[in-house]
Amino acid sequence: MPDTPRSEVFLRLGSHSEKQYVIKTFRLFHGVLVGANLLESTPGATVSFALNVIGQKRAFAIDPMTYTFGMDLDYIKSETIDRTKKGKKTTKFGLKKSFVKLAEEFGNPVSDAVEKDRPVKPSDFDDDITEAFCESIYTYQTTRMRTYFDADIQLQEFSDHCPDPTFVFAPYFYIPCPEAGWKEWRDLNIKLANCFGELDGDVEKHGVICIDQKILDDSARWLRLCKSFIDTGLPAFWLWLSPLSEEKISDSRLQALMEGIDSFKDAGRRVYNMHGGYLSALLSKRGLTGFSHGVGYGESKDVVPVIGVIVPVVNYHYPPLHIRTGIAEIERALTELGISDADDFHEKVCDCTVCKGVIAGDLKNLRQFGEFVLKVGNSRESQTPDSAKKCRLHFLLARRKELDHVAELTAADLKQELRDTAKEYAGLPGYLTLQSKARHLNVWAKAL
Amino acid sequence: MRLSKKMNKSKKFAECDLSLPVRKFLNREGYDRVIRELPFFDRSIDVYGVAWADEAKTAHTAKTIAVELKLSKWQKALHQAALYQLCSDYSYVAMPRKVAETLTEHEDFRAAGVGILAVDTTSKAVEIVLPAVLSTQAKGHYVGPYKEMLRR
Repeated sequence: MPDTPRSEVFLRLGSHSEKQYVIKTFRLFHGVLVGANLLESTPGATVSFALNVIGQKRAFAIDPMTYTFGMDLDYIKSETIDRTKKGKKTTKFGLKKSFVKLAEEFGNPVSDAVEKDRPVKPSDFDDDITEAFCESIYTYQTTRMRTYFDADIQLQEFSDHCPDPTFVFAPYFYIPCPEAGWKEWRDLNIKLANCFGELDGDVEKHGVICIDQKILDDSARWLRLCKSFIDTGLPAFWLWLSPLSEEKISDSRLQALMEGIDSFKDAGRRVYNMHGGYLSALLSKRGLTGFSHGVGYGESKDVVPVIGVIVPVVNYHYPPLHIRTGIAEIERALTELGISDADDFHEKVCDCTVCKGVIAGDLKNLRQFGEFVLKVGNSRESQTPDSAKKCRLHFLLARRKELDHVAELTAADLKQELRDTAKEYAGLPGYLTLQSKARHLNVWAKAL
Repeated sequence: MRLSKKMNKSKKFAECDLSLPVRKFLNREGYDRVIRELPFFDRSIDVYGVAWADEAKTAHTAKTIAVELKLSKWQKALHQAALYQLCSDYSYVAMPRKVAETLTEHEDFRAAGVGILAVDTTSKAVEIVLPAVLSTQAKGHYVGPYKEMLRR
């Protein structure tokens, strides 16, 4: 018998190119989160998508992404053609339009700082500005979609039907613990959460703790921080321990994380992991309410964005180990894993609709999850869109199965299962890559 | 396409410096067509060769070989060479002689059936110090297209 409720999982919509996956699968999950920058860059598409999600009785919320304005503004800048210059084509490096709009909406101190081409700093927030800023962030999340309704001639008469988000996030900034100045950022975040909690408004307010994962190395400090946020009175909190990777988490950091979760649970607060995966699902047994992730990656996220044009490979989500891995690595280990045909694969690895459809009774079709092609003008091969699509859809279906699995088993059974799998893979020959990719399972077992 | 320039600091010897001696060696061993940097999923096989058994270049009698070049990280090389057993009949790791000779008795290489080529960094002579075993993992859906590509 299950001993905990199912994790509340939110899909994060990172771009509208991901919408096709989210639209197909969001009913399998608790809800959807959308970044405010996406709402600003494609308001029409985002609003219609939100209506769809809320209409299907799923949770929907807008992440105000306030933290981006407390970091190097270069992270949210891009190079565009300078249309103010005549003649020869010149480019300029400026804030992305979606963030310019956000800064205008959020007002001071963000708009002033952006005007001066600098990030905000804790000293920008005196008491009056803090209150005004919190009001602005609340108003943005609760009314911005309606504004777009009002602005659309065809939708105007229906603007009263534009629903509220399920909950709103308090403004938050990254706490660079233990770097110099981190305490000022900590105090600012607590002040913002306190102030946000005192605002009038019917929509449930959630706090965000966005901090370097190194805080987990000092358990006492981490628990004090959790307590400070609990004392704000907000009913729910999202943890973003940047750039925590569940697969690489150490025993001691996991222990500290669990103690933090316990403290929220004991205080009667709901707590979510902002960027999590299967470990977060397991932690539902300890009191973690839920978590969010993207559709093709995003089970871990660094506050410092990846700058560049490299398109990440969407690897196959390998359910026995709950990690992404290359298809060749899986195919190479099939014999040693006792998988000789498609039926074995569906029994031991994955029997989701996508896997059954792609493999279609013949294991050689597994390679379709890892197809690459050399595009004209490129020196390296890149993954085909079709292959990436299959991997993403498989991942989302497999994730739902994982959530069902965790909900159906007891903590003790899950613990035993993790240990058994770790033992099975440790017994594989050392020349197989998968042999060394199962070590995290023994760490995760300690969470149960 | 240029191979990555991973330098061995003390010897001023780069990973790509292993390539030419290995390719020449494979030619001498009867591999008619030897190429560098053959894509395999998101990886690149450093050296890949095919030996035709007859003038008609009959695919099913031809044998293929994959070689992973490494200066020192033999475990990584072994992992990669084991993967290349999916797409070649014989899979080898080529390393500078001093490193290669320490690995010939290594259980993981023997268990995998991955062979070892030792490259003399001075004379550029190449020698098989551990012969590869015919791969039981080679899949026609990978090897076939490679043979077809190298036939042209």
